[in-house]
Amino acid sequence: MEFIKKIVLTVSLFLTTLMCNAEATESRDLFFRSGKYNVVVAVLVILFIILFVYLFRLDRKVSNLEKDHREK
Amino acid sequence: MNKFKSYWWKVLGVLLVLYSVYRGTSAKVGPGIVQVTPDLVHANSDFEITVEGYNTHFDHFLVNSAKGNGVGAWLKLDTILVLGRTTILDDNHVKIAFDGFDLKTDTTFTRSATIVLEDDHHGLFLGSQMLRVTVDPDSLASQDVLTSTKNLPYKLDQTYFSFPYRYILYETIRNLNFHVPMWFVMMTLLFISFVFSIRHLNTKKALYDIWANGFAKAGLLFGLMGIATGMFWANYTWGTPWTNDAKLNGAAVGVLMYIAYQILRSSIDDEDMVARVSAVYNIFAYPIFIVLIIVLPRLADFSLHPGAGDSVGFSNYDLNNHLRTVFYPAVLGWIVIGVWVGQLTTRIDRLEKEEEWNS
Repeated sequence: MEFIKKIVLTVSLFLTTLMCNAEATESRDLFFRSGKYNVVVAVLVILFIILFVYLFRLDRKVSNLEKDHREK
Repeated sequence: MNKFKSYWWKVLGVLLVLYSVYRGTSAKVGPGIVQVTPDLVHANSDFEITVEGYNTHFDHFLVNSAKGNGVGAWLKLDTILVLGRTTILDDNHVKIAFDGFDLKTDTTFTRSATIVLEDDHHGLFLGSQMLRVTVDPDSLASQDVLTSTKNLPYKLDQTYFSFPYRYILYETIRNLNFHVPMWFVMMTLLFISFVFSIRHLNTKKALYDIWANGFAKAGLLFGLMGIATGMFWANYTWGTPWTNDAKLNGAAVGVLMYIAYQILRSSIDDEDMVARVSAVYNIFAYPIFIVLIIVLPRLADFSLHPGAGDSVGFSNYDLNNHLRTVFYPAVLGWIVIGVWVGQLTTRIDRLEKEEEWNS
């Protein structure tokens, strides 16, 4: 089960990027404006979103450990 | 204070990353030449070209031109420099007028010329391969060869901190500080994982296997970060999120190899077996990974990535080394953050395992 979750997460992360790309046709201006500066912003946002998703997963693991620890 | 001794390196990593994000987003991109119209001129009689610049702030020099520090413009044909007269149109446009070449030639020749612009704020900058100059035969001309003008550029330096200008990339050159370090982090973390796998096979200690797995997971995380940021950047510069580039395909296979490592681990039930088989897999996977993302792209005939295939590295146009002062701290900072993430993952995995063993 855990493994399936992992795969779903990985695929969904890829899909998010692809979805951003699909929207590109409408928001082309947004990312081409002022020398494509917004691409830099988007790249940083992607970086931190992925990092935070990973942190949330670690957090969940720690919560489970805490729960097990208290039950003893 | 004693506590600080154990986590000072984490603070250092955070500070380095913060510095690189701050500097990488706030520093300016240097001046550059986007376009020259027309792109073909006949040089026998006087001619005019309009140069479209990027981040050139020509307006600024309109005001100051009374003091004599205007924008200087030259046309460079082979090694010959011809001085032009500039008229500033707006922030990013300047019109340059040149006298016709009084040159005795037998045949018509067409050559690619470089536009050289210079002012005391931006320093000297060039636009090459943007203008072609044709000279028709002229038997009445007085000179055989073209000579340089007396007023040559001062070769002034840029007076402010800036990243190099690159056509198509524009501001996104900053992404070098955010996308590329991900791969350095991935290589470092997977190397640590590789070392722990070797140590596990030597000592048969279960702890080393947990370390190897934790760092492989963290390495995979940074690989995914690298791919996601790279795809987004490529979409707005190369026009598509995925191209058939040796580096891209190598990185994709490399990431898949480490996803396969996780699948391998979850597919075996016996714990000692998992540790041993995955350690052997890991030891084989790392050299292949390095070959895929470094060696093969270098050997490729063509690559869009700098420093791979036929393309030049970033060092070729980062002449003032400003990019390096942000890029190296970014690489170091992200590596430290990566080791921290790997360490956290391992510590949690270890607790989980110990919990399992105790129950």
